[in-house]
Amino acid sequence: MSSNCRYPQVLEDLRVSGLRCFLCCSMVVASVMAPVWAADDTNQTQSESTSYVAPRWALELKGGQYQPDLELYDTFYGDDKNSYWAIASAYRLTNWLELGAELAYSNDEGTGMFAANGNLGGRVDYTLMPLQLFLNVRYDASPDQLFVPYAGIGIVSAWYQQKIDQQPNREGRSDIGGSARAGIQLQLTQLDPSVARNKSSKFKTYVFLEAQVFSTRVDGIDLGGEIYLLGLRFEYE
Amino acid sequence: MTRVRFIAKIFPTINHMSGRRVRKSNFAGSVRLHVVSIAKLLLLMASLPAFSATLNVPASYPTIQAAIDAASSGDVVEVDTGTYQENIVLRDGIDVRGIEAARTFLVARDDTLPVVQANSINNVLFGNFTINGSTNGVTILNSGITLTSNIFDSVLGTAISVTGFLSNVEILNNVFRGNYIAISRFIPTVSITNNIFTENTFTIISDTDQTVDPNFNVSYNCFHNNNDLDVNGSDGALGTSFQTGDPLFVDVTNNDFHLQQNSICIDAGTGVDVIDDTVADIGAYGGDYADAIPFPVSEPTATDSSTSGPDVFNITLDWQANLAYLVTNTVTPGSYKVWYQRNQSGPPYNGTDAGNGTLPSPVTVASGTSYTLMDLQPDATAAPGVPVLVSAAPQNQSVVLQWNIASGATGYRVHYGVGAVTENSIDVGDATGYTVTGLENGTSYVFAVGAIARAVYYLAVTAVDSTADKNESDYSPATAISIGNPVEGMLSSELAATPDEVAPYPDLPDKGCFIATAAFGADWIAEVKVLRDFRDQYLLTNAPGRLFVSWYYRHGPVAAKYLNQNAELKPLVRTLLWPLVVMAAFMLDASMALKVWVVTLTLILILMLIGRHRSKLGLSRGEGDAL
Repeated sequence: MSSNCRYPQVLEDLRVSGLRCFLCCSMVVASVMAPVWAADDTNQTQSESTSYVAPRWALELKGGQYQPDLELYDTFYGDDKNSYWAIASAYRLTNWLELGAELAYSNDEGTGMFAANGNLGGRVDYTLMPLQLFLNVRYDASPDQLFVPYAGIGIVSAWYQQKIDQQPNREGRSDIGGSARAGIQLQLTQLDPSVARNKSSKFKTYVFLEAQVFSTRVDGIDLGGEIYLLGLRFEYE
Repeated sequence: MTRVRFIAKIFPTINHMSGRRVRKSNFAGSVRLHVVSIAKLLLLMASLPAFSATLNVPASYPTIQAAIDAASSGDVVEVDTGTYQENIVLRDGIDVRGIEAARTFLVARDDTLPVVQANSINNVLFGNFTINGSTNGVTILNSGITLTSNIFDSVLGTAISVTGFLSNVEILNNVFRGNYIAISRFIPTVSITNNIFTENTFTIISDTDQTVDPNFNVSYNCFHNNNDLDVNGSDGALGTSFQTGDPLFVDVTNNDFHLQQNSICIDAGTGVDVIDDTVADIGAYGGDYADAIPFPVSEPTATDSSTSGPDVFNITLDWQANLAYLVTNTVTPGSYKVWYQRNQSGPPYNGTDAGNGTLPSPVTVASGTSYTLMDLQPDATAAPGVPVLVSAAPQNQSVVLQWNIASGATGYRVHYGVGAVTENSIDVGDATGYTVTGLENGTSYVFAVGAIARAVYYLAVTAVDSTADKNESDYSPATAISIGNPVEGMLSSELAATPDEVAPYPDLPDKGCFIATAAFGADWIAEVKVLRDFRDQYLLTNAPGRLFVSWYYRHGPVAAKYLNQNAELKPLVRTLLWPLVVMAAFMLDASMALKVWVVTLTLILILMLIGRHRSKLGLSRGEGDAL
């Protein structure tokens, strides 16, 4: 968790890391490039013969690794990371802007701590299901573009549950927090020549790598963390 | 070798040829003696039938093919029960027979080849096997062979295929069930007698050219539910003296193709049954070559029925009936034998203590499928070993114990207490772990485990048929049960543990489920609380908000009463309220920076959509102008 990157004060509770630097830079690039892409989009719309309208709807299935922002996580759960699975759906507002929602699932088994003496003990099953609403900026300029970079921000709230042997479950919802994401998508349909020739195809399939960071709190405890995902994206009109 | 030893025994002159005794006689006499002896020997060998050897699989030979290859003409390869994955090539004059058709299975090792092949051989009997699931069963080319007492079940191709003009085949007392083609014969010299055909796609076909009359050499067979036949007999392809109808097999799913009482196939064949000396049954358990062994009983269940006072121990055993008509029969029923033995699994089941020593194993049960072994004498067994208590892990108001297996233990007893382990004890069965519950948090307890041992009885059942020979099945799978007074060994070393409440990490509060509540319609309180908090923080703090609250309190109860009277509207109202709940939660929980950020984003989005809409309108107008 170290980096030379400096953050604005408003993000002071987000710990510094390479991923956060990358996401921050992605945001900056996306912010700068978005008006340019928007202008391209408008020009293309006005020129009917060359216009390209990307499919409106997208469905993403992804999985990867979640590193919680909890300093003692590895003490109680064996290591400082966990698997993370998510499904997302998005609607393309323009060729370069999409609005979406993502529901994720992460589960880990570990130990707890005895209240009286502070010793580790008991068995705890911890489930986290973050729900995100996000806005992504994408550079998708033509139907045969092989790589599509994107970055986005969003809001997030997580449902959590802790099952403890011989004790009642604990469950609840975290406060609304923020999230950021960036990634790159490889258009698989362009790898198949027969599909690639069909410019009027209303379907596209991507494989993508994505990094996320999110922060959402419960009584001051941050349930967020860093996430690295590999996924498939299906776009359709 | 066997044949030579036998001849030497009955004809001692052959020993003279070894030379030891010949030295005492004169040479001429010796020569005469030899000539005469050899002549006698040759005559005897020519006149005597060949003496056959029996080669057992797998006791003497690991595979059936290995036994066939080692056998001489006239020998018999005898195959014990089991499943044999082989492609067998039969040899001239060598019979191959299973011990028990129902439990001697043949499966093709290479499924592109038939399970059994007979090419240009004669004088062979192949019988008492179950061939199921392979692509092709038996393929015969130019051979003289008898196929008898076999079960061909679910063969994907052809169960028996006979080709070659030199073939002379007898298909006798077999069962063909669920095969694609039961029998394919190229020539008419294939006799098909006393067989049961059921649920086959094709029953008896005559190659692709239909060169053989399907009725020729077909007699005394039983047909039921074959796809290509009209079992009412109107299609004339059933041969002579046939039966049509359900053969009433005992249990097809467990490969028991014995016949139940009232089967139309009983005493309906030609010839005589080797089992009961009556007219031959149709199917694999009729005729000269049927195996007489009843199908084994399935695993019985044993219950401790010791009810009458101390030191009187009974075991009640229940089992499923063997429904073969020679066992379960309202006129001449068979019987069962109950076998038991104490503290040792498996045969010989030579228990002696039932009936206080008056009913040694086996006990014959003439009727019914239940029997109680009474007054057993489960002697005190030796004390079991000492278990090692590995861990005592505290939890909330409980402690999880784990220990290692102790030798001779049939169960375990957990001892625990605050001051000493002798305060409480629980018998916990034969598991090696137990969670002691109902403990007080913050109090230290000590735990120990003792192994206990009781006599274990192993029991099995056999079925006995009603014939004069009283043929008996193999043992059922054994069942075990512990009874008698327990003997407890020494206690393990003690471990202490203090139960306590566990705090999870992260230590999150239990707030109820926001999303689940909205999704499943339960626990509406959380949402109500959000709205109430929103009221307190955002509405009651300003004049317009207080005005709204006042209005709501005047009209809200009326709406709530109507809603309670019309409960079907509640989901709709909840759906309508949900966006308000989300908005209220956002306003309550989000930081000011986040609120500003989200509001700004929303405004930007709205402006963009408006701009895009106007741009499209302008484009449409431009197109209109151009037109």
